[in-house]
Amino acid sequence: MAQRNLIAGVILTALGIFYGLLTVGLPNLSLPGTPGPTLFPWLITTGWVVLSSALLLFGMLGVRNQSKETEKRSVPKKPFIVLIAFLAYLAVLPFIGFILSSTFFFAGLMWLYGERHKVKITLTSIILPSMIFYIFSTGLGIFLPNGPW
Amino acid sequence: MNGDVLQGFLQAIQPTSLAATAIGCFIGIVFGMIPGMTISSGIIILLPLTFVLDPSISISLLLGLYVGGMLGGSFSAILLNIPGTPSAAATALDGYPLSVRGEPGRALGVAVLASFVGGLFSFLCLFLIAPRLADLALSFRAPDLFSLVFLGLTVICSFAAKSWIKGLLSAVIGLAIVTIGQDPIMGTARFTFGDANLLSGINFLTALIGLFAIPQLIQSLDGGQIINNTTQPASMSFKKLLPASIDIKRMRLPVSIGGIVGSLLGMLPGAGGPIAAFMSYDYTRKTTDDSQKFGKGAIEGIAAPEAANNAVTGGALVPMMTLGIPGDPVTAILIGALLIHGLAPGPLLFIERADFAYGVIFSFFWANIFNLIIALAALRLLVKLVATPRSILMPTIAILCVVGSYALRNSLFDVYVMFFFGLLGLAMKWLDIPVVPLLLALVLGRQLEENLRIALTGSQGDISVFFTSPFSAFFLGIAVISIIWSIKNTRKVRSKNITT
Repeated sequence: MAQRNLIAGVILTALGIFYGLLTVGLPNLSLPGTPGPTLFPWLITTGWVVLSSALLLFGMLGVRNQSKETEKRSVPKKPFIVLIAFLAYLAVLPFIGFILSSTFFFAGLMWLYGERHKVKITLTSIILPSMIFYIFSTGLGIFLPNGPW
Repeated sequence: MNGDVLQGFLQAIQPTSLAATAIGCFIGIVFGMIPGMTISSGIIILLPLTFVLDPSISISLLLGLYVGGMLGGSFSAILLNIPGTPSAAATALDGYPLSVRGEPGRALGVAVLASFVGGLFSFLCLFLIAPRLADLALSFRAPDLFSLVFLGLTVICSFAAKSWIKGLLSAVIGLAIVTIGQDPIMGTARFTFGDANLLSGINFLTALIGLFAIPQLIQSLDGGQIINNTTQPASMSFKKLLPASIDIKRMRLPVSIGGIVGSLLGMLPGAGGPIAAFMSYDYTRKTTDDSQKFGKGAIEGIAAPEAANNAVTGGALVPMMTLGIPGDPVTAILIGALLIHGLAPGPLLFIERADFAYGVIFSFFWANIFNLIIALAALRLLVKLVATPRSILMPTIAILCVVGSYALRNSLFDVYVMFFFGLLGLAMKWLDIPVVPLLLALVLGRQLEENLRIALTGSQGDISVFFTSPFSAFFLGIAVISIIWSIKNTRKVRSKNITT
């Protein structure tokens, strides 16, 4: 946990500083004596950097006190596959449309969640996304991406 | 006033509103029952519908889901010893032993009835307290509102986090995200990187879908929700669901304790169901003559936490409706759903749209009624639905995440934002940073900045205005106490972990 606190501390301090740098570049348009649009971002920057520095410090102290034994844990692959599949789905969605892209995505996810019955996968992944498309476009007037068709 | 109450009542008894409440309750119970699923997951499924439905129907649907989810969580606690919601953890202490003893129907019946009474009690609190609190809140000025929102944030952070630093950091990140887009006073573009899509800021509901649903999808992959093989809920017998008169007699005191504790704690932002449920359980054990039977299937041990966690729902609606301060993620979502329809919860809601405000209160009443009816009438069906294959449920949720975020503005940009927040949620989970403070900061951040700047503009930049106003000083005082208390609490938890 101490190691994760250290990682969180490093990442968040860096992000806090980055946010502060972006705040420096904001136009400060305000009347004299009144707070402008940079006031709140500055307060956030201060809080962010102070808190993340504290986390970094506690993380460093924790890592120092922690025993050097580190257990090796295997990194599960499935979460990454799901995220990549999701990303691929979002990338092709505007080009091939909701029904087709969702059908492939749905089928892939069904398989990843342990379904091995091919007919079940095929039927469910065709029927459910089509049903969702139909309900939203016809019933609710929300037109999902059609693709080139 | 009376005319508005009547209008609200009529709005809540519209057939469409009643049907929406009933559907919400049904979905809520199912999602609460499925171990690992949350009320928020259920909301993600319903969210796209609420964009196109009438606000009164949308809110009825979501309220039904909220109330139903609380009860559903207890079903899995009783039948499987896996609390469906954190609030149901206390119910498992006596509910599961009674179920194992061969009386699952009796345990569920007590839970359903206690939830119903607790819910009704909190409805009365909501009905009686909310309009008065809204009247009082009308006299709040910008410094008071700033301090109130600040209090809401600190209380929530202190309860949401194991580590107060991480809790506050999560809230700070949320506040930083709120600053993306045009500033609330002058309309200056901030952190938009020249992208027109970012001018209107990050939509709270888009962020919510990503933050909750994507980590849920990943978490469900590892089979973390394993149903105990020795306990097959679908094969259990549920005879005598309605509690016998002797059980009802034993339920009186625990339900009263649960109802009062739950309603009061629900009104405090951040206190929430788990604390109320355990507190009621503890008080009941202390006030009952035969405390030895607790933990072995005591009726009192089921009734008290059940009444408490359902009473929390009505209590949590009080600050949400009157002050616009969410007490938990679900009430934050309710605020988001109302904002989509141009209705801002807060004291003005009781002035400008009092009929709608009372409609919400009465919809809450009907949600409790439907909860009772659905739970008793469709229990066998509901228990079977727990066995819905994850291989169908999770892909459906994934697709609906995309639809839900797209439907907000018919924009694929929002879908990509949703996915980004999903990745952020996963990273925060891995780093053990709580997501709830970020979510609530997204809801409260704009109000916080707006009131801060209005207050400082009015006082010509003099910050003493926050301490000279009695309301503001009071809220800031409580905020400081809550931060100190949370620091102490974190230390206590840490030392307890070390000793164990």
